[in-house]
Amino acid sequence: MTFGINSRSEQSRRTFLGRSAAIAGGWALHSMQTQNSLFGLGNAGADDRVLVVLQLSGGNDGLNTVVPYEDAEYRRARGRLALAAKDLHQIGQARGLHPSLKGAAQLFKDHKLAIIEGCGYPNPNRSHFKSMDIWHAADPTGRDLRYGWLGRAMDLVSREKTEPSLAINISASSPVALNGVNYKPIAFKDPNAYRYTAAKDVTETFERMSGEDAADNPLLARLRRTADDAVQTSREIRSKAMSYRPIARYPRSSLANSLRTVAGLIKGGLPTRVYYTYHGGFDTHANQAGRHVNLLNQLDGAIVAFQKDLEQQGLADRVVLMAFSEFGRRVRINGSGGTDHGVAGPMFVMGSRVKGGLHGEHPSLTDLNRGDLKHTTDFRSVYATLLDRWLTIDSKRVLGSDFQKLGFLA
Amino acid sequence: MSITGIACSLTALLSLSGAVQAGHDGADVLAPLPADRFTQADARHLLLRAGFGGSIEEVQRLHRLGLDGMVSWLVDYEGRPDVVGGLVLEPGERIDRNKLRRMEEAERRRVRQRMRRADALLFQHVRRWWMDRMLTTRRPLEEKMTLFWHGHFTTSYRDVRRSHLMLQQNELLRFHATGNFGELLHQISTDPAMLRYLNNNQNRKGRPNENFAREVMELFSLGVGNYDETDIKQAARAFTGWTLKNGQFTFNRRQHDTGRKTIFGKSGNFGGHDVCDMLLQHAACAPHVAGKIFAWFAYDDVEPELREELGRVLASHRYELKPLLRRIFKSEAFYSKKAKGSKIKSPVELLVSTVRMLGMNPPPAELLLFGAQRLGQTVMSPPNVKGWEGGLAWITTANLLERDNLCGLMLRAGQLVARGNQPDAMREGSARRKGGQQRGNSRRRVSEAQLARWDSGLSACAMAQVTGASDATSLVDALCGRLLVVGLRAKTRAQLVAFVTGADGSRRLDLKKLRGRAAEAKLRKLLHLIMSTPEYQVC
Repeated sequence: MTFGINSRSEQSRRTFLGRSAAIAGGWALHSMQTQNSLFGLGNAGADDRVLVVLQLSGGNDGLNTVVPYEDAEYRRARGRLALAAKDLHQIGQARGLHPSLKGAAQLFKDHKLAIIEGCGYPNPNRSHFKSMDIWHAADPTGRDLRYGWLGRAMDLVSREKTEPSLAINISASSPVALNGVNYKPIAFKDPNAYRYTAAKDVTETFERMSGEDAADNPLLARLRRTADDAVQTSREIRSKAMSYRPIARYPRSSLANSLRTVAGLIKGGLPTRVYYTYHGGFDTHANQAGRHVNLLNQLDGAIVAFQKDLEQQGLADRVVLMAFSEFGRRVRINGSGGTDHGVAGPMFVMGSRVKGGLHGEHPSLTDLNRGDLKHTTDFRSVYATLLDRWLTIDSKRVLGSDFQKLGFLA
Repeated sequence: MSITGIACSLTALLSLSGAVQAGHDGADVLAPLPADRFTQADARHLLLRAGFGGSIEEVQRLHRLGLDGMVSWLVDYEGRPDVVGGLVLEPGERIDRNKLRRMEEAERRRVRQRMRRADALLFQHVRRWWMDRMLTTRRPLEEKMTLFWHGHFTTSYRDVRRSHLMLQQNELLRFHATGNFGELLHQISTDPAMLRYLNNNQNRKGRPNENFAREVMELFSLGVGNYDETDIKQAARAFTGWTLKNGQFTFNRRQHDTGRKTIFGKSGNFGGHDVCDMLLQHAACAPHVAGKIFAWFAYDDVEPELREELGRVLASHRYELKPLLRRIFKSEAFYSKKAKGSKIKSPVELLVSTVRMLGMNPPPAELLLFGAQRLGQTVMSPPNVKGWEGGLAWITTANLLERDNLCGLMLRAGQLVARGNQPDAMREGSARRKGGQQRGNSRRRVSEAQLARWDSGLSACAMAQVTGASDATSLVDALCGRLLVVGLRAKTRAQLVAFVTGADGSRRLDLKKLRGRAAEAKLRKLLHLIMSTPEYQVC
């Protein structure tokens, strides 16, 4: 069931508030690039659409994020963790968003936030790592978890020439999701520290040492390429991120910093199609209530500021943010005021061009599988929708088969 | 700690060793390296992997002991006193929970914050103490195995929040570093920091918390695919009532589920130590653990038949670790092409081995702790219960540059004192800027004073003189021979030679006059360039 209605008047209001002329021009350009990308010729450009992925690490408690407050079973199973209807932000359908998600609720009302309920996959794995890898690789069988869905997508975009900054990970580590067979992402946490620091003569020799050679063993070849990518991209990224002046106010949090950097790089015109960001600490086995409040507060503050900033910078029509977690949590509260690893959970897609609303179906709280919700939407349907309808990259080639597209993007 | 636990495990092991007769089909996969083929390069490889590397002089000295002698030196370290002694840490101020509950909300928050801050300070002592050990130890294998177990039986201060418990666990890991895995498994199950980390202190009868039961199977003993969800749920019941009282392990009988449990197809009123024994008896346990140890020292992607053989070695010695370690360090596989240069140095390995290979005086521990943290390895705060992923996961564009920068920083340490300047890489506060994007974290900042305090004692001139090189090429080759385990590419080598001769427009190094500030600075730059190669990242 799809309840996202993106009314014509809403659309035109945004267009009017935005930069109508620029958007009109932008659209013409878009359709051309769409064509290019579909034929695999596309090279990302400054007007391309951007996907920002936000990973909620640790297993976000979906049931206490998008709350089915009228379901008596919810109250029974959750005991003292159950949230009271009066504290929730009503979003219709007898659902309420967690008290911390005030800004997100407003985005929902503005049709800029789509919630896809009950996302998961068959034969769910309850290990953080395995399940996270499954989401990254988009392979529920878990047979080959080396390459990620976005990495494979970038493989398709960059078949000819590799543009290193097609995908950027805002963290010092490097996730499976962005790992392609050929494509390897750029990764950094602090853009200001992303540089080689040495005296001029050393730096010059260092830069001359980079490049070429196929004679290395695979490990060294990989290191060599990473070094080359670093030499090639660090200067530009640093200067763009550092010179960025956001219009909206970002709260103080690691996630907000990351999204601020992303906004700066989009504004700076980087050819990046995918940004990957993190918000961690959702593994709430004990004393969940207070921790979840803080986690969702930070989440809310950061994404609302990001959306506002993009709108004020005139970039909002080019950007979609998708948030997911490796699993939801057990329906029943555990003995420690927390919840154990579960299965299905909601995914979120935010953006000015998103068809906001509730998508998918809420899983039953009584028809459980060993105490866990049964998923109602395969998460790969969300991926497929984002690939085909947003990044215009053939989802069948990325995901291996054809998944049903969902209504959150036209 | 638990006498019963040890007794249990011994019984379990006796029955295990009966069941597992070491099969010799796969024996050749662990064939020994003929002692006369043990080269100086092999000794260097061994010291880097089994420890944190050493200067050329140390490598030569150990190589002269021969393969058997050097392996004994590494493995049988007990007779050798260590440089850094024990750390005595008073448990920080703790206020009784009931007393806290009676306080006003604001007062409670203040008290909690005070305790947290005080403990965070103590924690810095613990971390520094361990880093000092790694920097100075005369028992490198002991520290290397302690680091291994820290990644295996992961526990993070972020969740434990008790410095003295982190220290206690670290000492437990060190005490059993090369001891008996079965004993260690039993003891880690009642380790206070572990109980807190995996919430087993909240695992109660009728309200089981599965966190520990899952990880003990998935990560600590068997590996994914060797148990099912029912085993976890049932095992969690067996661990109910294992909790803490005043920061020490206690068995709370009233919280323990005495009902019948079925685990791995066996039923009974099992307790936690029974589960540990069942894990140790499980056919997947020894290969999983032994394979992981081999991978830590030799190479990833351990062949299945080798893993099985390693498991047989471990099981046939009732989980005693030393026989396994000796077999690994004396095996041909350990010195094979597949092993050498196949591992990416972890941040701790990179930084500690840099100090040790260059023969520098140990730096302030904070400097390396901070550096390792910037590179993705916060000692005693691993990212999640799986520990650090390792390998190529250490390497991203930013981390690679940062590795180079930190090596450069260590090389310039002596010069920093003279000039009193501090490179950006170390200036966390530099992230603080007009836009106010990032908060400067004073605790993570390494102060100039700390840097200036470090007299590294490095003499690049002396290093170069000892090589006896008379031309640029042989100087570059000799220095690379000390710092790298794989050969440089021709192009990089040519650039380095040009940097020495000044053919690239830089200042020429006079090989006949290897002394004075200019020569020292130039040579340190050369060392920095060598350390900025991809080749330096592997060991």
